[in-house]
Amino acid sequence: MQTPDTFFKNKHTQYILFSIENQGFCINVDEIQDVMDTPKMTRIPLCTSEIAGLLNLRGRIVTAMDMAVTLSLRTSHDPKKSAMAIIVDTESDLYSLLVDHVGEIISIAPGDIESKSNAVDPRWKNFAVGIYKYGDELIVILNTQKLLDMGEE
Amino acid sequence: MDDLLQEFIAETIESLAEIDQQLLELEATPENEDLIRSIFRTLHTIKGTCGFLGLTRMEGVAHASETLLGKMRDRKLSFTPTIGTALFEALDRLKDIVEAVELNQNYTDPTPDQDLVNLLLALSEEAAESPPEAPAEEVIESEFVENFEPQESPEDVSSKETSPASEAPQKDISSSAEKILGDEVPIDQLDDLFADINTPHKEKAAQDASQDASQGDEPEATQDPSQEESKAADEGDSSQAEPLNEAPAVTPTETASSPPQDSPKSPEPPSPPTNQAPSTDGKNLAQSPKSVEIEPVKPQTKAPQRPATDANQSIRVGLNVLDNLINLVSELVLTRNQLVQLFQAEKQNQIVDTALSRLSYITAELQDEVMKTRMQPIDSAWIKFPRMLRDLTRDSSKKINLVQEGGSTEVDRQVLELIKDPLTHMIRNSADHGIETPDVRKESGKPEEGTIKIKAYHEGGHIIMEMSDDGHGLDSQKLKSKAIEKGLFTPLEAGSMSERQLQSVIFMPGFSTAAAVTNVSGRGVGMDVVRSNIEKLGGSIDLSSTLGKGTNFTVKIPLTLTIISAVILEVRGERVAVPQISITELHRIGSRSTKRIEFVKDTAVLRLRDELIPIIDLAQEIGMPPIIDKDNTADTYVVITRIGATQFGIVVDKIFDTQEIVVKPLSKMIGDIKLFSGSTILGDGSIVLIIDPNTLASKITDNRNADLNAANNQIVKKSKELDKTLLLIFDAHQKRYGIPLCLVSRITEYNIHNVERLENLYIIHYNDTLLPIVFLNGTPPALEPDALDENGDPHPGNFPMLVFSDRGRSMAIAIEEIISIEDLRLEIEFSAKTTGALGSTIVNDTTTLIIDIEYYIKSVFPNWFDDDSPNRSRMTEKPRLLFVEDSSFFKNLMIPLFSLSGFQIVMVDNGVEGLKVLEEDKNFNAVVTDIEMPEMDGYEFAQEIRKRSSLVHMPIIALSSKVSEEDVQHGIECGFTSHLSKTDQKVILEVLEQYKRKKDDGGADADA
Repeated sequence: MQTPDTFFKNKHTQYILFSIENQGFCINVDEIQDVMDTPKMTRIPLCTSEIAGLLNLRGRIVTAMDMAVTLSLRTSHDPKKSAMAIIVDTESDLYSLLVDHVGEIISIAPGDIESKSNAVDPRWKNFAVGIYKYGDELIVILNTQKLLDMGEE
Repeated sequence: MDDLLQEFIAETIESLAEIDQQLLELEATPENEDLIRSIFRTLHTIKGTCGFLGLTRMEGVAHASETLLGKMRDRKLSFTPTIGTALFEALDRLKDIVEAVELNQNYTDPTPDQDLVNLLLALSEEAAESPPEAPAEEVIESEFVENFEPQESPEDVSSKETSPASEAPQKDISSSAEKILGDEVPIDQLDDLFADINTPHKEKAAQDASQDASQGDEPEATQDPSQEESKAADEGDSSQAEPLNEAPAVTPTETASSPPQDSPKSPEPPSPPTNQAPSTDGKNLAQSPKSVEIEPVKPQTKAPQRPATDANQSIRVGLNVLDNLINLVSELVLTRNQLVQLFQAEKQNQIVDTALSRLSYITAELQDEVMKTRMQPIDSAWIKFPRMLRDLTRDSSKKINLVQEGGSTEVDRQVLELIKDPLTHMIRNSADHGIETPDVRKESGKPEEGTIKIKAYHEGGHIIMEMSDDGHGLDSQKLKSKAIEKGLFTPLEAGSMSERQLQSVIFMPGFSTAAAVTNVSGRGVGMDVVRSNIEKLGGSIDLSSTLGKGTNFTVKIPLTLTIISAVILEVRGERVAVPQISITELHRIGSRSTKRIEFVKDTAVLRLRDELIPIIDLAQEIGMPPIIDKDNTADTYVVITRIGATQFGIVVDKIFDTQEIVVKPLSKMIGDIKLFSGSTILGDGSIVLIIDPNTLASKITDNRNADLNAANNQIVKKSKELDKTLLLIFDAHQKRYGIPLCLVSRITEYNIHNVERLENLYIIHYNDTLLPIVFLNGTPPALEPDALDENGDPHPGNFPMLVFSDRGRSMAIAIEEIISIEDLRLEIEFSAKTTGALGSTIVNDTTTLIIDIEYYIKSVFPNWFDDDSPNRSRMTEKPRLLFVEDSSFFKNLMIPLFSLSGFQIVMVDNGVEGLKVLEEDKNFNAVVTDIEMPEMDGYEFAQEIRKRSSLVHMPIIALSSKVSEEDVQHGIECGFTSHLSKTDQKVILEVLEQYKRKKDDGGADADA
């Protein structure tokens, strides 16, 4: 018999896996609108280095952010490495998170997430929800909203 | 309930605005009973709804007003100005209460309104035969017992049939409602839209049919006692459909209403929801208050007396729905473009081609129609003006007539919202400051009633609004003294300003012309706010005014903020868009053009029709290597841009074309980059950023304008007064120096590290040559190894210098900083004791030494000016000419000619001076002389020369404009070797060519 408590605890959430510089990350699938190869982008002069440019998603203008820069894995946008774009729709704008590779979608039960602690690399502490052990790999679960908030601070 | 309340508020605001207008009309035509009835009805609806919603306070005021109007309607009372004022007051109170309702403040306690209610009731009692039934009747009506008196007059029917919860008919789509929650769109536009997105024909047919049916039935209604009744019937229907209404089936309305509404039990009449079935209103309330609200169909034939209020069909649609539509359409357009590009490659398939062009056409149509949904007539921004002026004239005893033209001109509703306040302000200004009081007007021979005219029309993607008044106009002199008093500019500056420039001072911040602050305007925030608001919209404002005649403002604003016309530019490989409205001219510069970018201090400028226009390097602004190079070798373009009074040029690499672009806002993440106002997607799918010219303009005004204005003023003056000298003012070694600008050939920079010492001289490498450089205090400035420039970077060692060039020789004077260029009558006040200075003069309260350039040149080239000295060192082996000519025109004409043919020229003005030169220096190949000269003419000069034994063989060539046989003969007698026509340059050069050699042969002895 499952008590309601354990039921909610074990209710799985789906996450999409991606990697940057061989480090695995994932974000909640519900927040994702689309995944695509990074298309041609328009550079934005004067903006911060994590903003890679603007891209055209079926007539909507999407601001592309290079996650490698946001997560301090590279210092500047590298068009060759940031090959995939994960499109995220916030209330006001569309954003695209540029990553190196996008992997499969996995289900994670809330109970399996190691809440962030010293286990999380200090560079990612601001964005991380926690750590999930996926096979041999440690995946950092990221909070999309926090990733996008950075630009406004 | 909240939704219901929201709708009520939005609607009531509209209804009140409508009453506002109608009351104004009523003031003009007090006998118009239709108006009275209409106002009465609207008020009654409001009152009823208030009762239903429990808004007792509002109900009280509405009720009292309605009572008063009821008396008038029943002809028991006639309209008087007092009544008008009371009604206006009531109207304002109702507006206040609606606001209170919205803010959830006091809307139940009627005590604050007691005075007003009493006044209204007292006014209605004034009617001589005021029967007490009238108010009682109203009470009954408000209790919705509408069917008890089926034989009532049509007016009564109309009033009581309107049940509290029924929606008031939306009469005027243009009525101004500040709190409108949705946009109103004429039905026909939406119908077109539906047709475009391929509504199944069946449905449309059904729609048409039912519309036809209802329209077909309506004329029957008009046969009833009055047209009013049928209208009332429409309203009645809505109440029937409403669950609260327990009306029996037999009502007077039924006789007049159309068949589909016959059954009061049916909440949903057979007509489709988009149809204008009156019963839909009822359905709305009963079922889904949030759904669109539909106005009853009122065929035009039904309302010949009030066409404006009834003719338009509209529904209310949420703005977000429209925005989504617009977004979807732009996506559709892009997809269409992609498809077209895809299929253009393979041109075989006829069917695909046809389908594609059809798709293209429909998409374009759809885009047009969707864009129209955002448009609203401009007069919804004007709607408050009549009332405003009425209140104003009542306070000030002025008489003003407002003339409106082109009110139906359509403009994007976003623009409309933003333009409302500036317009209101301007009309107020005209009424308050412009129009005089009647007696003043009479005196100056004008009609007592002033006229304010407001006119709107379309012109090339813009809407132009002209506001003119026939008031006293702007007094430039007054403006001038006021502006000086306020320190906006100095008396000197003001003196040189044109009438128009002076008038534009009213747009400057902190300037208000009203001597006293009135409750209307004159609070110091004024036209500057108007202007900045209009410019924020990408518009412009201009004014012209004649003292005593009136003032005329012209406002130009874009039709829409969503689609703008923009010029696509390229800068260092990046494409950007600049809104076309701010662009005035395009110029090409570089090797294939005569235009050059020049530098005043560090500011790059373009000289355009005697004006120096500051230049912004767009590449630098977006963090790229600059395009401007000081040699002007690159082929670039300058886009001349004007923002308000600021004019500047933007340097770019390429200019493409002008396109209509859909402006999309930037995401929050990059929204703080002020240089960009948005982005857009071009036809090829690529994204470009839109430059905000306002940001660039502010950079200009911040940094550079001060420098430039001075220089610019000088240049402007220079073109007017030629007898003055442009003096270049600069600093060197803590002293202020000046030098006539015409002597300076270049202003450029040298690097301190390139200075070398050569005996007593300093020289620098400059453009692959060695250039002597003079330091005014004798030594080069010492540059500390750790010196920093103004940016805090290590000082590169560059300093400005002035280069002087003459006859192939150049030298430079090192300076520290260029201060300005001044236009002065050069009056040297005393001969300076300082070596190297001609004297000093006062420039801008600073003693300025005027450089004696000759002194410095001599220190470098002792023989620069020494062509006349007998023991000159032979710098050149050039043949020499003594040129005697008094006309400066011919001097300028001939000297280049002689120089070109390789002569070195010594120039004197007349024969006497010529002789003096010759007495000291005989080393000339030839003497060229004019004949007509003061002091000593050419003939006499030749005779004098021939008298001197050493000069017997000196060739003398006479140039004259008249060469007759007689003259030539006389000349030869006097000793001329040749006598040539001044105009025949070819012959002159041929003759001179002979004497180049002659000196080598026989002239040497003269030198010996």
